[in-house]
Amino acid sequence: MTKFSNSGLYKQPFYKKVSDLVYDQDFLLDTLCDNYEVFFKHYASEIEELGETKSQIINQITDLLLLKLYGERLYFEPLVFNPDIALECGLIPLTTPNIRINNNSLYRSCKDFINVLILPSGTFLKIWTERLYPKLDAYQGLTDNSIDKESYLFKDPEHFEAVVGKSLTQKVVNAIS
Amino acid sequence: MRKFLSSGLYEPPFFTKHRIEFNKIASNIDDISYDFILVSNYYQDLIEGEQDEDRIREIIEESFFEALRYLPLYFEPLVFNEKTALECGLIPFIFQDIKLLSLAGYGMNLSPKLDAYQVLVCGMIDKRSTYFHKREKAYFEHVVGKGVYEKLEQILAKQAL
Repeated sequence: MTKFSNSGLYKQPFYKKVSDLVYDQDFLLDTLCDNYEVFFKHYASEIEELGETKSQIINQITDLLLLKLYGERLYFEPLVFNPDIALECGLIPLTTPNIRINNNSLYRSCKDFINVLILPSGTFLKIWTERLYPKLDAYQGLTDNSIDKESYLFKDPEHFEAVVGKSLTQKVVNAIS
Repeated sequence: MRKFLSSGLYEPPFFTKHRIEFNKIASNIDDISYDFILVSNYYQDLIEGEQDEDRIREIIEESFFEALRYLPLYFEPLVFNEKTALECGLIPFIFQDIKLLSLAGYGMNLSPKLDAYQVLVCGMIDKRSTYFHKREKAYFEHVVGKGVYEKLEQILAKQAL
């Protein structure tokens, strides 16, 4: 039987994994400032806003983001970039210069800035990070109304729900139906 | 009906596209490398009878960069095999540590070269390949050449047994 495999020539995948991106915290702060309302909406319940100035609130959200960013960070460049939905799915949106590192050499890409989603893992073990892919599947479902056939949503629905929560799972199911 | 689209998370595509302006390549010439001997063999016709080594190098380099200049779109395969790439009419090179293939042409559908490369390197092909379009078979063969086409047919026929 002929072995088929997606070449990526005829149909582009939804995500491009960006494994060698140079992370610069300043741009996370810029992304936060540019999308302040969206970040505030998602983190309002976790911060103390009483009597705080906007910059103090930004500092609080930054601290929360840094806590989430502990462990291995994986970066994914999606076909559709929506910071609001990213935060809803437990991903961190980031607009950053496209600077890559290979063999200790820094390379700046011709495209100056790229929009990526950070998948915070809280661990340095790759196997656990991959178990968090439902967050990315959920994001794809909500932004593009599409999903990968191999998604955990079909292979292991319980795990999918455990990662993204019941209400978000339902939202994804509705979006792709 | 459900809309399925590969996320790229569970099965990475065989090729990743890179759009790189030629100016960027030209201005970072130290970041580019390629197998000079293999590429020289590929351009054998152009250097036939030429004795002067400097002139040979000049011809090869000119041809190599001309091939890269056609289209600022390059393909990073999961498996990089320079010999097979050249066999399929693709020009392999490394730019800023990324292993890339240039189509070495433009103005026509050259995807058969990449499809052929994928089959020859890993024995797999995309369902949507031109190879499966009945009316395009002759075109596919024309682009990749008879030898490569026959090789590809043999590989796919073996799998069909």
